[in-house]
Amino acid sequence: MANVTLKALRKDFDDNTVLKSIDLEVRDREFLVLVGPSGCGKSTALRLISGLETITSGEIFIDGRLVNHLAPKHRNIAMVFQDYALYPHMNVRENMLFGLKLRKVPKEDWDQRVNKAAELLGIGELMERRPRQLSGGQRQRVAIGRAIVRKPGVFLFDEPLSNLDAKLREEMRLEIGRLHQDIRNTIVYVTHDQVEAMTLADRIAVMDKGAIQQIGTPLDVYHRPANLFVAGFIGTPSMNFLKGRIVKQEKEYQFQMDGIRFRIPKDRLDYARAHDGMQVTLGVRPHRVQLASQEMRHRVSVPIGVRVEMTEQMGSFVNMIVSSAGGRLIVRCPADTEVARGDKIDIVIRVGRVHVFDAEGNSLRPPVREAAPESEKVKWKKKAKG
Amino acid sequence: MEPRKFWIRTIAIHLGLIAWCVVAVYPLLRIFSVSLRPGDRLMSTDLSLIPADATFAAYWNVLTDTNFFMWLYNSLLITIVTSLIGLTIASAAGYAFSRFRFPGSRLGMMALLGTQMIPAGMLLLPLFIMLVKLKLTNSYLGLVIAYSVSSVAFSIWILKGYYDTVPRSLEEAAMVDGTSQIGAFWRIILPLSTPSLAIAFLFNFTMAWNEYIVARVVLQRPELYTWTLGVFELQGQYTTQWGMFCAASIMVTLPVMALFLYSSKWLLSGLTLGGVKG
Repeated sequence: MANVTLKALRKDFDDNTVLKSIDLEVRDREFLVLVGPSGCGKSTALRLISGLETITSGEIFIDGRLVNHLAPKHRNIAMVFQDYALYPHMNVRENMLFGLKLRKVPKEDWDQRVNKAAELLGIGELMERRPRQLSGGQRQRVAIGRAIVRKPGVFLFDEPLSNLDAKLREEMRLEIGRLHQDIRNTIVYVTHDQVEAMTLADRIAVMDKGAIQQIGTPLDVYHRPANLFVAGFIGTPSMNFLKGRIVKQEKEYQFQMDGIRFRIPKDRLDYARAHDGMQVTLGVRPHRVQLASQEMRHRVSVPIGVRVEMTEQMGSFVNMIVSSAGGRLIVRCPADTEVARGDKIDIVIRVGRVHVFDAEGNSLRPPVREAAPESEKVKWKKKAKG
Repeated sequence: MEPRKFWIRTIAIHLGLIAWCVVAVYPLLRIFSVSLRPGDRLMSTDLSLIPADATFAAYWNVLTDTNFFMWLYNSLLITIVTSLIGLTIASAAGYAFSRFRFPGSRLGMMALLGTQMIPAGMLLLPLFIMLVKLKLTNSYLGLVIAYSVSSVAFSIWILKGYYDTVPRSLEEAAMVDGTSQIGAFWRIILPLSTPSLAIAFLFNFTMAWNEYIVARVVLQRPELYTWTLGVFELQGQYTTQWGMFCAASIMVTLPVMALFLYSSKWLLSGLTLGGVKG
């Protein structure tokens, strides 16, 4: 078991800065997910931790030991690669034993370690097969098994599920989650898939343009995005954004845009940082927008007239893409909602669930930590269990 | 495609292939036929492959009346050493060119390719002068060096091209598992590269085995003769022992044929299939 600390970690490839001064603390036994779009530097960060890339500046500590100049084999890590990287000329058993032999683990321990990992991953009957005789899911299991037998301090996963089809990915995602429950090792996991990040992570580090945008628990990152990028990246479908300004009316602030005007609650806007006429972006998740005709149990904005551009039937709900004066919005409606392309309808926004960002894209939410509503916690737990 | 067109196309392709095979195999059959004729009848009106009065006398004569086994020993020694040296240098150099970025790597590869465009005859004089200065004429080593330098460039190109197709993640996995970069090269990359290593080895082997001109220039002492020089000795000023000439030629092709047959299993590619997603 080990913790990983990155201090002012920077990586340049020639004139191109891929990582700009990253600071990160991965706690012992923690499952930390680095998530972000392609090219954000998340895989580079992982490769720097593994020692497969040299750092430009900064420091990496693994279990309190500075490892900047240590070769990968001396860092007490194991890595699972996106393309599995199983040795084609060895069978499954030899693949799993390779690291043990190199590290001169006593022969008496080999069988016990390999059999235990095989049992954990359900690959016992594949031990004599070559990688080319395995399916994608089996190969990924073997790759994980090869990492487990080594009993490293830290596991590094580099987009391990991105080559699998959707069903297998879901299956393996659950398996990796279960595995972490069983072995309780420190894991740094890189993915561009926010569902993987939300369901697997103890904490998520959202990355963009070579920098960490926000670190927090999945619920923190979802409910309290630090900036526009995080708000737009986390959550499916993406958060809706409306550009406007805030105006002060007596003691409260209101969001104003093209004749639409509604009050922003104090727990959603830091009144100390807001000022009259301030240009802002209002964010609202698709399921916090509803048809004006639906039963309104919560405080909502004034109706906003929109035109339906497209509908996506998802089975349990419908995603409606609508165009408004403020731009294109996505509205999540009950599955039985009857709307057609071109319909003109009214929608309302749940004002108690909006996010406000300043002109630089930073959240204007009050700094006081607000616990997520109990109902939302339950929902996420259910989702995580699949 | 219509069935009729398909058949016409298939037949045309096969006729072309058969014609090409005849062109390739006919000289060998002629040599075999001549080697079986009694006396030194090079020309004959008899078109049969095995003449009516066929005899293995020429083979026996080569084995008993000439230094055939000495030539064979010299050739094998020089060829095997050349092939191994060439392969060792090329496998390491090809890996460096494939995996490392260093100033001049591109230029280096182009320069290696450039050496292949210079006719061997042009290099004879400078090569001979160098070997004389190094006092390496009339020695196995001189010929081995001359052969190795000319075959290494081609082998580097073959191996570099192959290494490029082996995913880097395999070496990286090995390095994380507990080995160094050299260890990963030795334990992972080389075993996976057997098809290209076999091709490079065969290329080096056949090149050195069949070479005549450089050997003619470098070796003057008969006890160092390779088979190509030795067989040429059978050609006299007034008469040539064509039967023995051809019998010796047939016999020296046997080691190369055996090597090709043995290594054919290594030439089958696809060993890397399944190791990574693809």
